[in-house]
Amino acid sequence: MKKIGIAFRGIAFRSTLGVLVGLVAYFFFLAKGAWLLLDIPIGSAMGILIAISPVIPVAFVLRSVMQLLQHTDELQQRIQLLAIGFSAVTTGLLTFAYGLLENLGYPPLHSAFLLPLMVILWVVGTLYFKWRYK
Amino acid sequence: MKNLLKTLRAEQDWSQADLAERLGVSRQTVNAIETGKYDPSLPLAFKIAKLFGKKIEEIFLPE
Repeated sequence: MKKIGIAFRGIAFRSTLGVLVGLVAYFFFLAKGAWLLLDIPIGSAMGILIAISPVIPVAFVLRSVMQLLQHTDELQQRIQLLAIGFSAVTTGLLTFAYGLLENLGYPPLHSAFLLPLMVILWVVGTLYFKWRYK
Repeated sequence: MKNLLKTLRAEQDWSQADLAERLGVSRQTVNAIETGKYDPSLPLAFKIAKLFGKKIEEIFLPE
């Protein structure tokens, strides 16, 4: 019986490590990319590659999170399902509302803000639904 | 759905963490089932029944 807990703790540790490494790599790619882009012509193939390079560590982080979710128990999966649903619906609602405000002259929303917004709402949803099942 | 999980666990003198370890779930899941906030899936209900040597309907009761 103990093996189940130990195996999960191993997966949890690896996934958490994956998230941390991914986040460090993300900030590195972001900072290094911004610095490199100063000398590269906008629109060149190299410029495009450098500009989207932070996507790689973010994908790595999401992969680690998905691995962790696959190995959590059924209640935790339910909590995550509700949290992800909450995040998706709320992000859609907020961006839709802001899209209407753009008609009044508000500055356009940068699409790079969508993923951080979804992640923040996912964390909020997780905390809320975890509290509900306490 | 009501259940007798807390009573059965107490009879064995197990903590929620002990039971969670035996079932391969988190302590929060055991607590949520005991307090009636969460109804387990059929496979987990079978696992619980097997662990206590009882039938599912002897542990989980309709309200």
